[in-house]
Amino acid sequence: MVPPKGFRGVRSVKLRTCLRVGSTATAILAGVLLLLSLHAFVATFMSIAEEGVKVDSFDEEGLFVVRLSLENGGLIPIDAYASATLGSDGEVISQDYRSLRLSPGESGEISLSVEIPGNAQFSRANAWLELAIGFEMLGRLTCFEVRSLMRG
Amino acid sequence: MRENLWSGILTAAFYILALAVLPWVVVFKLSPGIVAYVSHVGIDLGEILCMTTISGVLLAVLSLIYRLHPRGSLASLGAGIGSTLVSLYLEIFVLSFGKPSALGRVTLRQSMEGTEATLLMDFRGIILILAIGAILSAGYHVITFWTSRKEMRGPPKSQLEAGT
Repeated sequence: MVPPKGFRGVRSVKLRTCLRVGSTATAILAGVLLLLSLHAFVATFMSIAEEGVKVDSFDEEGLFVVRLSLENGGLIPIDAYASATLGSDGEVISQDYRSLRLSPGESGEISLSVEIPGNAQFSRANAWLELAIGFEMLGRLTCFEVRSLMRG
Repeated sequence: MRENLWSGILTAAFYILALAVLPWVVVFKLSPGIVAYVSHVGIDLGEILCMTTISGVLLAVLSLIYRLHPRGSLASLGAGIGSTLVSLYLEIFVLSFGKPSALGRVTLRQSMEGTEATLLMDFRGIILILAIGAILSAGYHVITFWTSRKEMRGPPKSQLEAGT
C-alpha cells in the first residue's frame, strides 16, 4: 500500500480528521445539552412543586388568579411560560399568558388571572380550567411543557 | 489483522454489554411501581429494551465487519455507514420514548378523577444535532473508502513517469 503523498493526500487526511472530530464533537454536544436541559427542567419543576401553585378565586371581582413561584435550579438560562385558560362546554371564555426569563439560580413569580363571567349562563359544573407551565431552553433547542386540565 | 480482530471483539463486546445487557439489568433493578407507572403513562418499556438489544447486536456485528475488512472495501464502507444509521435510529427511538415517528416530540398523558395531566417533551433540536453528527460520520466513512481505494491503486501513471 502506498501512503498518501503530496497536497491531495494531506488535504484528504485533514478532511477525514475534521469529519471524525466533527462527528464526535456533535455527539458529545448533543449529550451534554440533553443532560443540561433535563437537569434544568427537573430542578425548576421541583421548585414549583415545593412552593406549590396558589389558586385564588375572587368572585366579587370576577377573577380567578393563579400564582406560581419558581427558581431556576439548573445551570443554563430558561424561558419559562405559563398559561391559564377558562372554558365551558368546549368554548374558551377567558385566557391569560405570561412568560419569564430566568438565569441560573434566579427566582421569579408568574401570576395569571382569568375572568369568571358573571352571567347566569356560566355554570361551574360544566367549566374547565387548563393550566400549562412550559420551559424553553438553549434557544428552543429543547422544550418541556406540563399541562393540566381540571373539569368542574 | 490480529490487532484489528482484538479491537473488533472489544468494540463488539462493549456494544453487547452497553446496549443488550445493561438496560435489562437496570430495568430488573427498578421497583415494580416505577415500571407500572412508566407503562401507565404510555411508554412501552419492553419495546424500548428489545430495540436497544437488537441495535446492540447489530452494532456489534457491524463493528466486527468494519474492523476485519480493509478500509477500501465495500464491506467496510457498508458497515461504517450502517453502524452510523443504526446509532442514529436508536438515538431517535430512545429520545422519542419508543415512538420514532414522533421524531423527538413526545406527549405523555395521565388521567385522574376529572383531571388530565400532560407532559410534552420536545427533543427535536437534539435530534437535529445528532443527525448532523451522523452526516459527518457517514462523510468520514465515504472519504476513508475513497482515499483507501486510491492508495490501493497506487499513484497515477503521470506521477510515476515524472518520478523516473
